[in-house]
Amino acid sequence: MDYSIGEIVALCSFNIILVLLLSPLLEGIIRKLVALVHSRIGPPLYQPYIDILKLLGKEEIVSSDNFFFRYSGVLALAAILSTAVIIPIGARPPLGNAGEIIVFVYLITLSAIMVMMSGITSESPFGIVGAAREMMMVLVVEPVIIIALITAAVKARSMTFGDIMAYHLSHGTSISMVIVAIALFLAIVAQLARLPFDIVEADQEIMEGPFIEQSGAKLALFKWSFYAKELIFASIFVSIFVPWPYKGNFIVDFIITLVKIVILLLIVGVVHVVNPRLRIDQAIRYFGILIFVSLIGLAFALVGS
Amino acid sequence: MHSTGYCQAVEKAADIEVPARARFIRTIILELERVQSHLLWLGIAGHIIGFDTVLMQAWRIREPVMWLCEKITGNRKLLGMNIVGGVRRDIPKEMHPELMEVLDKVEKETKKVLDAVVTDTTLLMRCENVGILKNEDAIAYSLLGPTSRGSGVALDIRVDHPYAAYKEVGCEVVVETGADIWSRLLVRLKETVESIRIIKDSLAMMPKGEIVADMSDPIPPGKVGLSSVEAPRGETHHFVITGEDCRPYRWKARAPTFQNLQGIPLMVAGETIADVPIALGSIDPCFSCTERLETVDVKSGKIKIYSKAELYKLSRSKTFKR
Amino acid sequence: MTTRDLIKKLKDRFGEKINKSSIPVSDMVLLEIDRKDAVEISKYIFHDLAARFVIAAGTDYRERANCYLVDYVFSLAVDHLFLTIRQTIPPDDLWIHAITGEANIPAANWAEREIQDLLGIKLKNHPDPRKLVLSDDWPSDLHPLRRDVPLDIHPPSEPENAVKLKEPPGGSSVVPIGPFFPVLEEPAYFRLFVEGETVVGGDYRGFYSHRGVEKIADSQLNYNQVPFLAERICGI
Repeated sequence: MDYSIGEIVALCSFNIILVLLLSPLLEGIIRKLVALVHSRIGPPLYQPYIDILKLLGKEEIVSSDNFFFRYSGVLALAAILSTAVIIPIGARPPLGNAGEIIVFVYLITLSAIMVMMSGITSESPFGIVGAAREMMMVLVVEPVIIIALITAAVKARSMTFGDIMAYHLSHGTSISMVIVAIALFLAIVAQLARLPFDIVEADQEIMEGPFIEQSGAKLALFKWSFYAKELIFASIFVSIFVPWPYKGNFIVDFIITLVKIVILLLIVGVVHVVNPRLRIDQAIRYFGILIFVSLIGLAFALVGS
Repeated sequence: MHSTGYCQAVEKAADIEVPARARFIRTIILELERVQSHLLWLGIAGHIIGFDTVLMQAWRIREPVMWLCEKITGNRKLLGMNIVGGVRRDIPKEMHPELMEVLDKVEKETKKVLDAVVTDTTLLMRCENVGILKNEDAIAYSLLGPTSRGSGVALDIRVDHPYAAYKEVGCEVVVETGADIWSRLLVRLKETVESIRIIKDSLAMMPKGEIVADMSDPIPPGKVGLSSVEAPRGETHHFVITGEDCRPYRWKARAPTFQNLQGIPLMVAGETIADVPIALGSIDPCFSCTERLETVDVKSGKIKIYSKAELYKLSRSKTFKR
Repeated sequence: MTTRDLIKKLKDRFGEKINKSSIPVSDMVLLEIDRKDAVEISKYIFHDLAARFVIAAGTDYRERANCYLVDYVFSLAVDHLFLTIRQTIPPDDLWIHAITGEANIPAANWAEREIQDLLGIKLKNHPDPRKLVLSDDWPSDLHPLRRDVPLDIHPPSEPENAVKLKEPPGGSSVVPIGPFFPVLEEPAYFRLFVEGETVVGGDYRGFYSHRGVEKIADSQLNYNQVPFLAERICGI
């Protein structure tokens, strides 16, 4: 399938703008669900937009002159937006076969490293503890994501998102995919810093962890990158593991994908709201088991199912 | 409960006998404070470990208790019921059916929360074997309230030095032997259910009569009196030396957190940082109770009292504007 | 054991050392002793009688009897009794033996430091005699709970009196929680010494929000005004 430059640019822009503008709304939906379970009314659905706008206008207090302290927010958001152009959101990925899972994992890790840098350069002991926790989480959560994506790739015999999506569309699901889907779902909960895995920025324990010294526009960009991650990960999960129904029409598929994304995020919200936070050592053990589980899924894929 | 402790200390010093109805009303008020304090603690403990659902639900259940306080006294928290010699307001018989109805509802919801919390595995994972306080340490440091009752020390002033109407109504002391945060949580939740029982029984058993003693004789100076009250957090103790002119010469109030804070190093040693806030929260610290002593006129501005702005500044060591 | 039995038991054990005994309230025994015997008697009460330490109260009794009083209150739960040991301190020679260290009663640690801060009665052999309750720049010779210190005094600021907090043992770093305590949002400073994520020690600095409740009560208020002030000790 050859697409013209114009179409590629249009699709890239569409994805980026979609991620930027839609992700706060998804966050708002999760917050409303959480409020419902808490028996309270909760904030309006557009609250995250207001939060970001407010932060963008606030005064910035700087505790360190370090390059990474100043720009880690920008770089984190940039990394996430870069993933937006290589993953499918409702349609094929904008950059077609240029987007493969290894690049995706690198970009996600880059944004996690930016979180760590923000903590390390903040000159606050809480920031350093938070950065250490983020490092430990990355070490156990990323392998699960990588193994899940590789399982999908093994089945599709290709590393690019477009091919993977097309393969699973035509071939339906299988045991290996179900196993790694469960593992990947929990890894997504951790990546999105949702309970029970919001250890990194546990505000009650270490006062926001790596973000303790971020303020104003820098903090707004970090928060935005987290909202964007929600949309990105939900989109990946939905496109690879639950790509049906597929109608071929761009608008219809897009709407169907959005519905699936919202449902997935609602499930994430439910997990968030019925669990307290785990300690870092407990979380590491938990993910140790998940890595093992996802390896089993990979084994199934390698033997053909 | 501080006002009860103080009034009882003066009454003992001056040998004033408080009428029976006033004693029962004091019991009801004390137990209402205990119920609302334990439910508040449950919410805060949930919040500390990131379980906001417990926070919201516990405080939702607590609202009817605040309504009860307002119905009886006109205030939600600082109830203003005690004076030396008795209480200031009565609980007339017409109020009782309404109060019983609300109490039944609170009891049902509390039991539901108790069941939900006790079976939650993640909560158990965070609270079990964390913040251990050995039985010998609890005794050596004289720790109080649910903190020591969770370590197997059967210390409850309502039974050790009975006051108000506890001799008539009876009180079951809840003791757990786990010595960790989970035990303290269980102690508090079970005590809440027991407190509701005490309130209901007191309402039923309340005799008719006066609510304040005849105070026409002046209180002689130079007398000593003391009284302990089992507050939700432990024993509060008041020590009074009466003075001339209808004024106390010396009044010493000691809140339970003053004693319990000294046990924190024992509970925190060897734990991870993540467990420190919940270990601290498990003694249900009331810093304002602990620090009620000394310093003077705040308005002058010359006394160095850390304002909120300065506290924020202190907790971030280096800050400079861009 | 009734109050009379308790007095008899203590008199049998200590004989002359008890200057005077009385039963001012039906469930309390008051013993007056010399300060040199305080450690021995407290040790017996806490360890052998298995009593619980309740509080230590210091009073400026100079207006009445030209002395200071230090009262230790113990609780005998089994017999439902309180036992108070009263020491009389001459105003020109202000010191007491600290029972925290000498009688091995860790429970009395803060209570005795509070007496030292507020009344100026020096503690002998206290394991940690640092300032506890007064603010960091409070003048070192001003003891607020003395009757001759007026309620509305404006003391000068002496920042060199700041409390020295402990230093971390070798190899560990400091994680401060506070002075703005994050969860409860109240001022308290816990200085944790950590190795990695494990806590190996710590120190505490608190009492940031004193309100002078006891001073107000004994300077200005009458009996029936104090319960309302007492209530406001605890807002939660």
